[in-house]
Amino acid sequence: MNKLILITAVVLSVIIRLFLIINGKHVADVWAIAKMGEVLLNGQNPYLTLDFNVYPPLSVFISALSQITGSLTNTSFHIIIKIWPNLADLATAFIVYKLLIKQKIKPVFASLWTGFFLLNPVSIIISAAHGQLDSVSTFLVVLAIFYLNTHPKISAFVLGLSIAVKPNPLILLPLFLLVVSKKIRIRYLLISLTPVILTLIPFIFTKPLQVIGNLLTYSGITDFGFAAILRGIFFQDNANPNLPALLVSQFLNISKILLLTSLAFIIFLLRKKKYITVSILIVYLLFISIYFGIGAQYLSWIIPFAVILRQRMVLVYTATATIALIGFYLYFGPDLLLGKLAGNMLPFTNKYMYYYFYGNLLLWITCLIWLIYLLIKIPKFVSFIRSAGSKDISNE
Amino acid sequence: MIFVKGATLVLIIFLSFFLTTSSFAQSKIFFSEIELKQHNFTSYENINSNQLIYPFKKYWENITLKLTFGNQNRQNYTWILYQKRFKELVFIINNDKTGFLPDTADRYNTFAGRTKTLVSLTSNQKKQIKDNISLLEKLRDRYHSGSAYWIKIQETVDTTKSLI
Repeated sequence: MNKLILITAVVLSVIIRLFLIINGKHVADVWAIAKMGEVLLNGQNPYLTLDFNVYPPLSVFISALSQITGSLTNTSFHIIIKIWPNLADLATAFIVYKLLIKQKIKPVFASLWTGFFLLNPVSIIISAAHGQLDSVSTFLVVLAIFYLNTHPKISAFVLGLSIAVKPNPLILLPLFLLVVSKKIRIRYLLISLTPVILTLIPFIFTKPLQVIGNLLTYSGITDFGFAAILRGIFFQDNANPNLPALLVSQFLNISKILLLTSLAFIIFLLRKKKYITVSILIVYLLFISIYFGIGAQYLSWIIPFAVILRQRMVLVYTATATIALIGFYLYFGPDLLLGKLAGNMLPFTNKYMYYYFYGNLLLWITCLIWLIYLLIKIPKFVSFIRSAGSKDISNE
Repeated sequence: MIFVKGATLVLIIFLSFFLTTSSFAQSKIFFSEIELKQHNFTSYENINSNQLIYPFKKYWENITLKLTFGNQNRQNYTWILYQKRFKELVFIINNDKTGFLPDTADRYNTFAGRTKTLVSLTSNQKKQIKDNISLLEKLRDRYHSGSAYWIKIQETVDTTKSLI
């Protein structure tokens, strides 16, 4: 029975993803990722050449490899680049299933949860329609959890690879360091920083400060969360969805300070707890709830960790995030979601603002409630996990 | 208990988005309330088409219309809805919220058409429609003749004229 569930989920997931990939277009983030690889293949430094923030080096290499693969196979870049995150989603599902079985969850429930992950609309939209690489990074974080107890050096290296693809796992590094034993903590830190340092070497010789500045000064984009709610409120003035630049800058700065202090507080709260998956979930929920620069792809980070913990709130989160995503794409860029199927649909059609606003409002409220619920349960971690019927991966 | 309190606090925050009215820097207004009253315009609607809460107003109206039985009752309610659409249109034009003008004008035209089909107008209602036409023409002429907004408002003038 569980095999049937898994196979059905995999087949359906692959069909839906392939449909979105084939009907996709070379727009927005796919265009930006293509530029990174293109500049590298032309022998230039993308961190110095491009006028937008460039992803960490492994993403640039993935882009370059996709360009080469595309020209060898005569396939469009937007199709090749989307293969990586979708393969990563399938691989993540495999590890999620193994982790659920490791927690002694019944195979049929493990299959259902894994199926939920495979068919999760948020993951599918981000990987197959939007074409972002966050799933690759997330897969590596999940793999780092898988190897944490048995092979901590592999765990550290894999976590390092995830940071070299996208920078967000960097905020999870302190959590991993808290969970590993004190004896190997320094070694874990050094190993996890090695991939991003090594992959940066080719780019860092000329103007190293500018290269590092390009990497570290990215503040995100005010597309989701509290920023989207504000955008909706401002929209009511005269259908202008853009926030004043000064307000964005002020809110971003405030949210960075709030986030850093909240993160420090959370890490302090979690310092004696050895439950890595719940800690990651809390940190990511905090990020989405507090930070002002939330992009579409950030919404996919939470899902595998919530599934590993069998948190039912992920159902509400998925529903609200899907409405927010659909509203976002239909309002700002229908061809991002629908690709060639968008036809003559134009962006900035007012009626889709309602889905964007209310989706984000419900999403933000869901994240807050979920975060408060998890934080309240921190002192009672063991009983909470038992009552939720779930066992986290601990280092005990 | 703490969770209930936390959830209640979040719910209050959620509801406050609906209860607060948005205030922005004073935008351009073409005619003052006194000038509008010269065309027998009484007052704006509390909820207008620029507000995010507007869909809920429409859903409520649709439900009310479906629950309105009897020909005369439905005619009366259709007339009420037509007046609401007119007031919303005046609000959008008079406050120069041009980003919402096309949708609001189209919605007005639709309701004007529905009114023409469903309502047997009384002489008072016809007089009110004449006042509406003269107000729309005045508002129209605040834009450059032949501009997109002028043309859109002219469409509403033509639709309103077809009612009588």
